[in-house]
Amino acid sequence: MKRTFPTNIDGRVFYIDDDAYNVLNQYLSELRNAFKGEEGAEIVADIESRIRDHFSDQSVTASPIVTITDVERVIAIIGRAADLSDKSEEEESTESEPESKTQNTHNQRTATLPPPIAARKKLYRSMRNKVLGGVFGGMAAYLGWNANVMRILFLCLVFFMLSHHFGLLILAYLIAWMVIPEARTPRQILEMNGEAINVGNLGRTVISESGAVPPPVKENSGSNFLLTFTSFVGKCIVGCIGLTAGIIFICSVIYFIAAIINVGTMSFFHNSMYDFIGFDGFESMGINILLITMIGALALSIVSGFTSWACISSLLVLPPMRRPIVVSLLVILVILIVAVAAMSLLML
Amino acid sequence: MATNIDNLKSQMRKGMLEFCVLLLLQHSDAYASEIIAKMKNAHMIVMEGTLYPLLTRLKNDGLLSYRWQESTSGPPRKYYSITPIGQMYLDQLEESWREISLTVNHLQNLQS
Repeated sequence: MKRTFPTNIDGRVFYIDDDAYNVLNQYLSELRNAFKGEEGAEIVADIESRIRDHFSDQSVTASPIVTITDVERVIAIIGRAADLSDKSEEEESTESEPESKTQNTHNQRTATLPPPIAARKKLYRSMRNKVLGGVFGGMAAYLGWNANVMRILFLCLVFFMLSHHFGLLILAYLIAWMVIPEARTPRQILEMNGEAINVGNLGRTVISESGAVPPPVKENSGSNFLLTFTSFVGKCIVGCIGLTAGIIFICSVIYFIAAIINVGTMSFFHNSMYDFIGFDGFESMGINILLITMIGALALSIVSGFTSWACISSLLVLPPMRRPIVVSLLVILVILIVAVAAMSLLML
Repeated sequence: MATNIDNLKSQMRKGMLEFCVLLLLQHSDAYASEIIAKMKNAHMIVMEGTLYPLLTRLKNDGLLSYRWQESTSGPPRKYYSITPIGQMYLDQLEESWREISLTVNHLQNLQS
């Protein structure tokens, strides 16, 4: 005869018998000893929910009562605390505090709640991810974007406003540089990245100050002059192609937008937009030609956009394009080319 | 000798585990149990528990992030996904993996 009682394992109730309970309890406290601190509590909570999954899988198929053999089987699957140490073990032991036993139940509870991250985020200038003042590095951390992409967009914007108000943009950058504080202390760095301010994270920030950030890829054959030279020339060529494609991209986008405005306004106000844009070529075109060139410009913009992205991302570190976006752009491209071909055939 | 080989094997596997987790998450998000199932199918892990410290460390290093998602059966699950930093890190790992495998292939083919 064995005593069986209900036990709550990560939010689900199981009937477990006495000695199975003892073994499980022993196992969990082994884990808590092995993984200390807040990070450890999270690991133990995750493992506990994995134990729950295993038990609920078996309670569907076999007996609803958890016995000692079940517990031992699950422990064998998951592994003893001694076998689970990650290679960051030294790190963990330096971060840990003597708080594991008493506060663990509390930690576990907070660890299983979704953490409120976004509220703590603040805008700083980044001192690590910076080219000039770290404004874009900080904004990228704040918005969760890529800093290099933002820099390139900003430069493009400045370049294309050269004739008129580009001074305003540069002024805005300078003001941002002056107004936004820089993230100097580990606490500010954590706030910039929206991470919780606790001992573990602070420690990690201080450690990674000395360069735990993944180092940039290096050319491994720097000693070989010829190779360095050819790779440099290659990079220049790729860069030129990328820039040219980028300019074509932006021009065709501008043309497309201008043409759209003209298609929209052609029937109503005939001359309103022409003076504004300073291009009166639309006037001489018929609506059909305008449509064809418009669609062609869109197709061209997609092609040149791809090309310049591919070239630039092989030189700088940009985030990869998401596959759905690429596929849908390609589909649009095919449709556009077919449309241009069909329309020009009809015209002839 | 045998224990030495076992030790080396598990060392290699541990080193690769991080790479494999990032590879797995590159295209679709997953919760821990899914990752475990895939890793077990690929004979990448023997003990399930090894994955949890790794996931937590990767998350704290900013390479992964997770969100809570309701599931149809049972309590909400942690869905892990790769961050831009993680993607950059993965690209570098892939680069060095290519180099390593080239080297090893080269050395293996030297004999024959």
